[in-house]
Amino acid sequence: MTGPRAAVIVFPGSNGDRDLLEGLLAAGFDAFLHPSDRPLPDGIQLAGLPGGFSYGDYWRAGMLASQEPSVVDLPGFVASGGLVIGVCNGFQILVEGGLLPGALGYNDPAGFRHRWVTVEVTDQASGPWFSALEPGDRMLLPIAHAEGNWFHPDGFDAVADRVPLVYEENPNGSLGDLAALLDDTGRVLGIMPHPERASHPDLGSTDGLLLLSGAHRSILEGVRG
Amino acid sequence: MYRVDLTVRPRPGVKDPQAEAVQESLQRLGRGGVSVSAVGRVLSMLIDCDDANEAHRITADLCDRLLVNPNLESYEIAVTEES
Repeated sequence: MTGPRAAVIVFPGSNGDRDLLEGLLAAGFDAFLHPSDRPLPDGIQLAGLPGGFSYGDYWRAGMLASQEPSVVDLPGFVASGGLVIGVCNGFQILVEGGLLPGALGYNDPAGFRHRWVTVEVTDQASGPWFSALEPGDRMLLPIAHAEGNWFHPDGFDAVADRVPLVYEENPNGSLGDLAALLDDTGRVLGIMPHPERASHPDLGSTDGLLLLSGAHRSILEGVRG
Repeated sequence: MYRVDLTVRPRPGVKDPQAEAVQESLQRLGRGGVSVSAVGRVLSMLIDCDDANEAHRITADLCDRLLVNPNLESYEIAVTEES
């Protein structure tokens, strides 16, 4: 492989690491798995935090994983131009690690929810993750989570200018129908649906591949958030 | 040595499906007049420090840095001296 290098961080309890690896490979990345208890490897352009149940969701989903060396390294990695995606539990880890604001609480109505959902690309979708998508585009993606109810005490307005994806039909009570969230740089993306599980026709949708291949193209073209 | 019992619970207004589920189960027991307001977590720990105020201060710092997400949760600290 000669594409940009991407590390998928594997936490104790991750179960979507292989899925994210396959998705990134399909998008053209030179992707590999990397254990969370080591610092981020040198020479990568992208770090992916997969779905699953890191540390069994003990105490609070994502909290224990947020202290892992690979996660502690992320702010410096982002500052140097690196891209980060956190999918589902990875989104929870990014929030717990302070890379994204707010909190992800229990679904409302309560319960683990796993199904296909449609999300819409908003006018705020810009930067490297969305270079292959246009505002108004709809994506068919699967969800599988119990704690995807994004909340902020200051309300949706606190982040309204950096919400790139909203649910067409809100499955979890998330404020403002928020399905994904960008940081100030546009390089950190937290997303509750699973784009990597919509990256091959056999899976039922290839819409998620647009996110990953967009990031790939942006890196090759030197686009920064 | 001081023993600290930290109680963390959902803030009022935050979705608390555990409380709702426990409430439903209690109702099935047939005892009326019981209303579950929150389900939280307790962390018990020993802290080697000079006085109870310091134990409280250390715990509050750990809460602010990691143990509590203030967007969702509130906490209470109970300190007792270990003999």
